[in-house]
Amino acid sequence: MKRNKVFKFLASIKLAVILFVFFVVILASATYYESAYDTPTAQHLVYKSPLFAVFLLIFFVNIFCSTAIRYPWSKKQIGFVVTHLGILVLLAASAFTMVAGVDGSMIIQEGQTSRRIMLNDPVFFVGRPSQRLEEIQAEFRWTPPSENRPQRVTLREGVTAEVVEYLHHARRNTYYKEAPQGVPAVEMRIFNQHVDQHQWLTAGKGDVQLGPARIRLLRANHEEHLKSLIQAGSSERGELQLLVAGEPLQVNVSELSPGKPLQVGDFTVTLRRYLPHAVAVKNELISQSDEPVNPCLDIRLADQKGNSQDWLLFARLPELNTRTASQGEALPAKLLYAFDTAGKDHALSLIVDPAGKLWGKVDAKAATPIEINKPQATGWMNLQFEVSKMLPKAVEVREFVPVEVEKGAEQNAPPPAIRLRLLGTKENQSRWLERGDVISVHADSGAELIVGYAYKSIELAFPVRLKDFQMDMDPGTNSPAAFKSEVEVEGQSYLIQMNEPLVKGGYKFFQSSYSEVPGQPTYSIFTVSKDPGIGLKYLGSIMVVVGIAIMFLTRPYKVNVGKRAVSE
Amino acid sequence: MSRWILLLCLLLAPLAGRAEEVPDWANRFRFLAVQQGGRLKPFDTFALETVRYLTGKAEFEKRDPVVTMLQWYALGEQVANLPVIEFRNKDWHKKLGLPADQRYFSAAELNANAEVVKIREELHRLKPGDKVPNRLSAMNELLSKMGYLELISKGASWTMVPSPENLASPWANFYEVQNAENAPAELKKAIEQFHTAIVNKSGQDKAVNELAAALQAVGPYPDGAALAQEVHYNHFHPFRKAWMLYLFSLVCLFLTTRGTSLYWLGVAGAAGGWALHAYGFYLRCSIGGRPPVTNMYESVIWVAFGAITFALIFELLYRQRSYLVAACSGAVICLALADQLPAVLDPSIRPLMPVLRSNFWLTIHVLTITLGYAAFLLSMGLGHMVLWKHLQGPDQREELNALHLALYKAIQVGVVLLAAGTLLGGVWANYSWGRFWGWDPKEVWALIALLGYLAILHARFTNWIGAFGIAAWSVLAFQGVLMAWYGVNFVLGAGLHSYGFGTGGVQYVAVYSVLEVLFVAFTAWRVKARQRDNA
Repeated sequence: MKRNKVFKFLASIKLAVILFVFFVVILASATYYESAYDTPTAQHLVYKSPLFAVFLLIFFVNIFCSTAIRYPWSKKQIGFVVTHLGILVLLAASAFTMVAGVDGSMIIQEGQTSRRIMLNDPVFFVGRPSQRLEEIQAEFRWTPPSENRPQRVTLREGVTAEVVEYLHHARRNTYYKEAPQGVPAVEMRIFNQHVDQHQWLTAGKGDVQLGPARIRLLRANHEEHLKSLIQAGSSERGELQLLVAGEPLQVNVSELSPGKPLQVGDFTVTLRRYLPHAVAVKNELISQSDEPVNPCLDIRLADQKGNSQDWLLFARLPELNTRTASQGEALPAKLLYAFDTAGKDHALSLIVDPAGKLWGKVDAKAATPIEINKPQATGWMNLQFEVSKMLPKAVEVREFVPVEVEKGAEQNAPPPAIRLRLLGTKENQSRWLERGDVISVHADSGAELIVGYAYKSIELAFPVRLKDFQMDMDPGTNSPAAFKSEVEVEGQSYLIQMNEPLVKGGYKFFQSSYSEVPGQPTYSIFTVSKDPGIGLKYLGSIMVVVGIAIMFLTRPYKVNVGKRAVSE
Repeated sequence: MSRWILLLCLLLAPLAGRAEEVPDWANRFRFLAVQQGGRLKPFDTFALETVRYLTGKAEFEKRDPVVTMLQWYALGEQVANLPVIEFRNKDWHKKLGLPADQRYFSAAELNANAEVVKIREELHRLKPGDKVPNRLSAMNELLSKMGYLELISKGASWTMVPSPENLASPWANFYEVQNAENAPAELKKAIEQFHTAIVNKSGQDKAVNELAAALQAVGPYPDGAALAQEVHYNHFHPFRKAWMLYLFSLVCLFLTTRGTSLYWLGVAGAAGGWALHAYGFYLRCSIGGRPPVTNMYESVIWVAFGAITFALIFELLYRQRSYLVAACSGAVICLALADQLPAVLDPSIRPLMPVLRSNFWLTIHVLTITLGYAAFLLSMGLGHMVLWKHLQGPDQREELNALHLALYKAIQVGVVLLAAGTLLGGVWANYSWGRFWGWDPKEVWALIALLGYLAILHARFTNWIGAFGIAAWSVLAFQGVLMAWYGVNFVLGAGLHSYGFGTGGVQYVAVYSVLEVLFVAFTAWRVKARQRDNA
């Protein structure tokens, strides 16, 4: 064996030195790429590339052979053997982690429960609405597709995604264009000497917070409804929220006039009664006053096939929401009535009357007609508003444009978006999918297919609930000193904070970040990892350090200048 | 001999005291507490850091920073006419139409510049969470300085009024208190009196005493001994004294051989420097409440300390002289740079980032890695000595053998510590981030530095390099250490170790590296040429 030339070469110190030099060059260039581009680029080009794995394998073979060729080992070689075996253990453990480890993140909203660990690999998830969704790899960053060189990914039900564009950071531009099946839309701006914000509003989309103001576009179905909307006095009646297949739709209740059905998505909503101050008198609900003390809606929800449900919804007491009647099949929608009084003072309602004319109503004042491109005062902080465009029937158009992101700002940069054609469906135009989007398409086979574009995820065996998120500041500053999350797993409470992870079911949950934006729910972000190779890594580390120490303490170094330095 | 003493006197001259007398009341004011930058500190530190931030020098115009700050406060709005804001950005000087050689500007002068006003407006339009674009970062800093000077003159940055609740609650500043309706009348009066006294330059003694009493009456006040300790640290300059002693030791050792009385004087000098160095560390630990190993300044100080420690141990074991010569050279360079370049190596004591707090593994891992750097610093110095000896000729074989042995030992110590420190970094990363190794640039460069030395240790078993090669390559391998230590944070600026990032000095380090490569190439060429001649 020892005479085998190949083995000798693989075990040689010369090969080791060559590998060291190569290793240095490879690693140095990887850190250069990381600095010039970003971490994922360096990972893709070097650390996670197959070639790098091959390099590490050669390194492993070299160390293995160099240790094996010296067998049987003498006492003098203990340090050498321990060190080199330690490195082999470290390399093997790393390979094990690569295969069996998990490194992802978990985002949980305060008060909510999650069991999804998001990984960094982008995927399509596809499937029939009632089935488990499958994940199909959808990484386009490194070889971006184009119209001339599209990339095809086979989905399910004979549908193929033909991706023709990929934007790594895509800013969404939403605008409206006229279409016969559309709803009213206006483009408006609100401004004073400090701020100037533009916004598209559409009917049936609920309130939009713009600076200090809550703005909405309402439709008056007939003259009487218009009258009730434009007269002085608060027209605030809260919002009706519909959850259909996870997608929220909002309706401003002011927009509903009693008895007239309003189209919301695939459903119609009919207001039967609005009770601002609901009380039960002799088993019957009546309104005691016009003040919104206990707002209640009596609503009928119907789909196009004639199935319907009647609901009583309470804004302040959602636990009392009751279905009072139902007809036909069950509807896949959830209803919720929200009446948020916060920020009510700064409400601006734009009202489209049946003739297509526009009215503006500030807070509880009577509405006045609006002319296009003519600013009007709101009475708050010198703010004025102006409508620049009004489309009586319009549909939303989403466009994505690439954004240049400065180094270091990637974390707050907009997410990626892809443009694709869905072959095997009736759709023949390309459409955009932003990361996180979910759509439903009808395959030529007639089957309905859910297609989403998101990250790969793993489902935990146990759900994690975020009970509370807290942040401490350094004395007298706004820099966070520590942030911690109180979570509940299987009925038990744990505190996760910096350097104090939760260990559960082989996973470690680290507090890594958070999102706290005024007016939005608070999210806590955890890094979740599972490293089955960690014990081996610690063992390898100890072997390496102890081995080197033994070598240096036991093996004398002889030097004689003028000749080559000699070993033993 | 006298030439050397003259040189030494010149070098030690800065140790002599300042010319200007600081009045007693200002010295009393120095010890009052300020809450700033996330911790409580004496006004002395606050003044030092603030004056350095605005003017680039703590002792601006050779004045005590406390006196400078009080003067700015007394001037009020007039401070805008004082050319005290340092701005040395050539590109921006051109763009703003400012004189190219002017270093200090007054706020009024800058405010009158239309371009400055325009950029201020552009920056104001950024939303709170937005990142300042890189092209405007220099201007953003300038505008921050201008704003800060205004705050100082109003008393609005003087957060010296304790919270009635506890020490960690936010403190109030003078301006706030003077304009608050519900503030204690006593306190308002004391602040007003103090301001009047320093404006009128009379009755300051009484005013400061009354102010101090009024402040301490508001709520819990930090321990006077801790504040005094920090003032002592600011003025004692232990690290400056240490490098001067190391320099002294270096001069002694240069002039002598082993075992003479001058040799022992040199060893004693280094030991004295080491004691001061250790004392400085003790003070910094005590003030910051943590081991001082979390920014570039602290690691430079620590590496110098490690190099001297190793050298003293080796020196006691082997009496070689070379260890101390190499270590003192390195330590003098490190400490003098830390002492003279506050803009690059920020000496202020700051609270730690959340991720770094209260962690045993972090401290162990950083201390071990940087001790490895210290051993390599020592080996780098020894490498130079070996190369120098080789340049002089092959006839000093015995001395060369001893030097080689010393070099090799230093590399061994470095390899053990760097390997252990890097692996301990994995333990810490697993503990804090949930992964042992993630190819983070700092991790990778620590590995590269290690691989460089490992290549040398392995190559000596081949016939590719001999004793000279080990020395030459060890000098080059130190460039890897420099990159891992300084370069990742200051040149690459990428990765998870972002709490240690900084700017400045890149060109000097690059020039140093190029000179090293040239020096090694020249030596190799000379030695080769001589071998060929002999053959």
